This record gives sequence, structure tokens and C-alpha cells, in this order.
Amino acid sequence: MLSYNTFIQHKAPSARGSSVSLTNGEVMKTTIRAMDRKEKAVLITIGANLVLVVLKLFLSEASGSVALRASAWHSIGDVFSAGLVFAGYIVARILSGKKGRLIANIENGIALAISGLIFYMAFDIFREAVSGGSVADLRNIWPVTIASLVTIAITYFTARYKEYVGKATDSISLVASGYHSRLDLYASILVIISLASSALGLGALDRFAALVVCLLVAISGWEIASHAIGALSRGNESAGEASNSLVHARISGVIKAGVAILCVFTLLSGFATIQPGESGIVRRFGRAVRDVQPGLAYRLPYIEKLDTVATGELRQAQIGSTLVLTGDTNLVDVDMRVQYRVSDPRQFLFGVVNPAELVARSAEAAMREAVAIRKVDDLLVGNRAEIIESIELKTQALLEANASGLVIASVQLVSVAPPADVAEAFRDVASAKEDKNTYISEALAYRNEILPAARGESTKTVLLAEAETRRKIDASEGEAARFALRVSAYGSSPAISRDRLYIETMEKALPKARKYIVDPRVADAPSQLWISRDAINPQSR
Amino acid sequence: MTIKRGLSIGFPALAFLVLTLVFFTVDTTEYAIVTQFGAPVKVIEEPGLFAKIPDPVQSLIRLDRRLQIFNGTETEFLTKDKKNILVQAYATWRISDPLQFFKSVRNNIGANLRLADIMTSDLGAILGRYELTDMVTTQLEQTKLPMLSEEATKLISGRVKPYGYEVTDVRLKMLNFPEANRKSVFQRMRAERQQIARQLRSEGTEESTKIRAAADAEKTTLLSAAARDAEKLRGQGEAEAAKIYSAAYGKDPQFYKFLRSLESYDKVITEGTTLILPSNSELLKYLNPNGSDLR
Repeated sequence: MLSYNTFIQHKAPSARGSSVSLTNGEVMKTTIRAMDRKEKAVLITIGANLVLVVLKLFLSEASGSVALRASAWHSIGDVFSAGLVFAGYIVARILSGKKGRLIANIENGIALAISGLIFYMAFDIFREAVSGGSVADLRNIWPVTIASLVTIAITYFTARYKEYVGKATDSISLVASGYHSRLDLYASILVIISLASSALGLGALDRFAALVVCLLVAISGWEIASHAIGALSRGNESAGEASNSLVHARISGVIKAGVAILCVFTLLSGFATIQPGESGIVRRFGRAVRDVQPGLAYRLPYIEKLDTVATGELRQAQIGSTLVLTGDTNLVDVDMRVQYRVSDPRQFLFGVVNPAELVARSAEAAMREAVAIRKVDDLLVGNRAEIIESIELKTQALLEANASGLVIASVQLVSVAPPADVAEAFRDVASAKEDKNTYISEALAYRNEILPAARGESTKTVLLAEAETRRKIDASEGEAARFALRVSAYGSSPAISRDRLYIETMEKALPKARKYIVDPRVADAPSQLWISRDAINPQSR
Repeated sequence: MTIKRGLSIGFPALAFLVLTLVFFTVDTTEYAIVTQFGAPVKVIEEPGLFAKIPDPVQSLIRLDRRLQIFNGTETEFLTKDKKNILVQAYATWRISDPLQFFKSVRNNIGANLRLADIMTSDLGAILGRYELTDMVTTQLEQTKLPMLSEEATKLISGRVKPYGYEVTDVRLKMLNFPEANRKSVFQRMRAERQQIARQLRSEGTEESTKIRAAADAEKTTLLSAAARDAEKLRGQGEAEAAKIYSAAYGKDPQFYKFLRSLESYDKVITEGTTLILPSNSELLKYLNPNGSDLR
């Protein structure tokens, strides 16, 4: 193990040919060759790592393993840090002095940014590994496991190669990078084991392996960051040169860093947001300890559990078409909907195992009871509001008795109808009502037709009689007047008038008749008078 | 070094594993029973964090302490008045004695199976004591459904108590006639409706006939009253006329008789009338040269 102090003295060579520890030309030549070899080695490892990244990503998609994905990120992290090392070599070779420092600072800044990215990747893996979803989703396990052995082989050879070249070229950073790759190897082995064991049923190991890898990723990020910060504040050394070397030397530091990062991540994962209209309840070790209002909420992971209940949400239960017995032993088909909401989140979560089912059953029972005391006609055409109210009250009472934490918002009787088999007969009753009204209307129309006519007729009869009476009286008055005048006329010379009138009348009357003038003696004595036929003569008078 | 590194990663992992195997939480919705080699040794009825010896020495059984809902199946029962009804009931129950529960029925499935049997037999007994009209009636006061529920709840809860749980409510989810009876029920409903329809129609006819008859009667009355009044008027008129005539003619009855007779001769003597006139009649007086006394 090399100490920190030794590294500080090992400054990046600022020009081709200068050596850190020897000054003669032979060493210089060796150093040049060594630098080329170093750079070549780093480039090769970058390439190998890129291959690993692609392979691991593909395998992680094929299997759905979180650990494999974490491992892929880890390799990406390695690509970045190797890239930084390479950049460091280039910078160190080309530039020197003040300009070199500026470039070094830029490089450190970039390194810092990259470390931030690596941190984020680690946190993401952490969150996914920890999130409570289903574990058993790993597919194609055996082919993926075997393919992963390839990644192990690549990683192993990369590690060995770096260590070898590093030792040969006396580059501490390369050796450290090789050491880093060894860690990667162990992590990959862990991933393989977890894959294999998930095939045997221990799915949870996948998550555990992911956590470990995530830790390593975070650590490598932390290494880069801390050294970049250190380098920036001290104003020397590029990040790449010393990053790989720094903390690997202090294994306890790694553990401490790892634990610290893990703790920070875990604590951060305790944040959650509660939407307006929701209510949160936190349980600590199973016991409910506090209610949480809408907004940002925090709970201690693993120790506390946060449940959110949508208290504002209007929930619905549907009681589909059912035949119900009415009070007068008829059957009706009822279709009902119930809207309810949560009034007490604690009771809702801890009281009943299936609150929605309780609502449905209670409503159904209440509806049956309400229907069983009513007549079928009241249900079909009567006052539904009254029935609905009684169902609402009854259901609410049942829900409260069971401490369900629910409250009924409304009940709707979507349809109350006679069963299909008898619907026709019910419809006919409605028709019969109509028919009855029609009959009565027609009769009234008839009445309204004949009575006015009769009244008219009777008035006419009376008026006619009146007219007739009037006429008779007028006639009689007229005749009376005429007679009175004649009397007065007659009275002046009665005998003459008498004779005159008599003779005038005879003149008028007698011509029409057949006359026989006989001797008075014949006319007086009652006897039979025979008149011969030939005496009857049209011309005889 | 590798071993040390291995340990430093492996040791926290192992510690973590041990923690998860020893410690456990009991939630507010649960009862927990710790069993040692299958036999229960501790019952936990309060939520919190607890410890036990890891499996396989000690195991943990978790029981849901919340209210459970049991849905019965459709069963046919006979009421007191020998009517066949189809009933489906549901019951709400919860564990009252976790240890007893675990010992006797072990889990919810066992509890529900036991409850199913008890409910079928007890409901049958209870329903056999009620008549159909106690459950289904139009008189509000007569309904005994709440009483029935209460009786069933008490009885069934008592019967399951030895098994470590209690029933809080038994209610009828469905009350109906069996399929076989349904046809005859529909038949009766149809006949009932038909009778109502018939009655309505005949009421309509009755009402209509009444109205028509009343109208006809009124018409007849009107007309006959009018005829009567008309006759009265005519009678009055004739009487009046007769009065006038007699008043007028009464002034000179002789003259009237004379005039009137003359008028009648004119009318009476028509074509075809044969008159036999004596030659000494007043009219023919002047025909007889002897008999004339012209003066």
C-alpha cells in the first residue's frame, strides 16, 4: 500500500522526457515508452469497459435484473473515470506551468460534474432497489447468467492487464485503476450469484446485490469528487492522475464513505408528497403515530410507514340488477348506485379488511329492508326520494356500527322495474288507467253534446207554443172585433140585413148541391122517397 | 487483504440479515403469534417492534384483526308457514381471541368454512320460526326483519365464540323465492295485474255509462218539461181565445148563431149533397105564384 504523501510528491510530468524520480536519459526513454504504454493501456481499458457497459445493459433488459443494471452503471462510471485519467495524461504531457494549471482546473471542474452524475446514478439504483415492488420479475435467468460470465471474464482480464501494465510502467494510477477493476469483478460475481439464486427462489438477493453495486458506484463518484475538490482548492494535479489512487489505499475510509453514503441515500428516500384531498398516516413499527396533512411529508425509512388515503375522493359502489321481494310479495328488479367517501382515514385503513365490499353489502341489505316493507306500486311510481332517504340512513347506520370510517354521500336508484316476465302485465295496468280516463272523457263529451241541444230544443218548443198561443188569441180578438162591428151594423136594420145575409149565403151554397123541390106535403110526412135513376141527371138541377 | 475486504463488505450484510431475522414489526391491523417448533408461545396483541429467535426455531404467524366479511351462498329455507324462500346472508366477524383462533381454525379460510356451516344450520332454525309475512309486509309495524338479524347475530356469534372469533352482524343480502317457485309468483303477479287492469277498465265503463244515462235522462226531462209548458201555454191560449169569443159572441148570441149557421151552410153543402127543399120554404117562397105575399 502506498501512502498519501508519496502521491503528492508524484506530480504529473509536465513535459515529455521529465521523470518524476530519475533524471538521466535512459530513464527518460523508458518513461516515454512507459507513458505511451500507460496511455495505450488506459485507452484499451476504456474500450473494454464500453463493451462491458453495452453487454451489461443488454443483459439487464433481457432479465429485468436491477443488479445487472447497477453493474452497467458502475462500468459507465469506470469509463468516465478512466477517461479522466487519460485526459489527465494528455494535459500533463502537452502543457505546463500556469496554462497547465488552468486546464487542470477545468479538468477538475469537469471531474466534479461527472462525479455528481455518478452520484445521481447511484441514488437512482438505490431507490429502485429499495422500492417495494414485486421481486419475482426476473426472466431468462439461465441464459443471462451464462452470458454474464463473459462480463466477468472481461473484467478479470482488464483488471489483471491494468495491474500488470501499471506495475511495469510504475504508474500508480494505473495500478489503482486495476485495483478498482478488481472490486468491479467482485461486484459482478455477486450479481451472478444473486441471479442464480433468484432462479432458485431467493429473489430478494437481486436487490441486495444492486445495493452493494450502487454503493461501489457512489464510492467511485465520491473519490472523483473529493479529489477534484481537493485539487481545485490546492491548485495542483489533475483529477485523473490521482483519483484512482487516492482512497483505494484506505480500505476503512471506503467502508466509512460507503456507509455514510448509504445512510444519506436512505434518509433521503423518506420524502414523499401528499396531494391536496389526501391524508397521510404514519405508522412506526406498526403503530399509528401521526396524521400528515397535504404537502411535503417525511418519514424514517423502514422504521416508519406512510399510507395516503384520498379522503376527498368520491368512491362508488354499484349494486347491479337484482330481484327484490316487496311488502306485498311481488318481485321488482332494482339497480342501485352508492357514492361514499372516507371520513376517518384511520378507521378506513385499520378497521375493515375490505371497506368497498362492506359498503356494497350494507347498502344491499338496507335496500332489501326498505323494499320489503313497501307495496310494489309505491316502489314503481311512488315517491322515490323517501325510499332513497331511508336506504341512505340505514346504510350509514350500518357503516357506523362497523366503525368503517366511511360516510355515504348519496344513493341512486338507477332503475326500479317489474321483472321482465311480468313487465307486460304492468304496462297493461297503465294502459287500463288510460282507457278508464278515455271512457269517462268520451261520456262527458257525449253529455256536452246532447244537453245543450236538448236545452235548445226545449226552448224552441216553448217559444213555438207561445207563438201559437199568441196567434190564437190575436185571431180570437180579431174575430171578436169583427163580430162586434157586424153586430153594430146589423143592429141598425136587423130585418134587412138578416134577409140579405141569408139569401147571399144560399146563392153561394145551393148551386153546388143536387136539389129536389117537392110538394110541402111530401116533405112534412115522414115517408120513403124513391128517386128513379134516370131522374138523376147531370143536367137536372 | 482480500479476506479483510471481503469481510468488511460481508459483515454489514450479515448483520443486516441477522437483524431482519430476529426483529419484526406487528402492524395495527394484525395480531401476531410466535410459535416454537409449531407450538404457540407468545401472543402479541399490540403493534410495535418485537424480537424472536430466528426461523426455524421460532416462527411468526400473522392474523388480520380487522373486520372481515363473509358472504354466504344462496340457500333455500322453509319458513314457519311452510313457504320456500331463497336466502343469501352475509356476516361481519373479527377475531376475539387470537390464540384460540389459531388453535381451532388456524386462519381465515378455516374460520369462513366453519362459519358457513354454522350459518346454514342456524339460519334455517331461525327462519323456521318466522313467517313470511314477518319479513315481507306492507304494514310497517309488522316487520320483524331487524329482530331476525339480531337473533341470528347473537346465536351465530355465540356458536363461533369457542373458535376464537365473534360475529358482529348477520344480515340478509338477498331474500327471494326459489327458481322453481318464481314462475308461479310471476303468474300470480300477472293475474293480479290483469285483475287490476280489468277493474280499472270496468270502472271506466261504469262511470261512462252513468254519465251518458244521466245526460239522456236530463235531456228527456228538459224536453218533456218543455212540451208540458208548451201544452200549458196552448191551453192557456185556447182558454183565453174561448173567453174572448164567448165575451164577444155573448153580446148577441142569436145573431152569432145566425151568422155562424150561414157560414156552415156554405161549407156543409158541397158537390154531391142532395137537398130536398119543400116548395114553401122561405127561399122558394116566391116560386109559388100563389103563395107570394108581396107586400
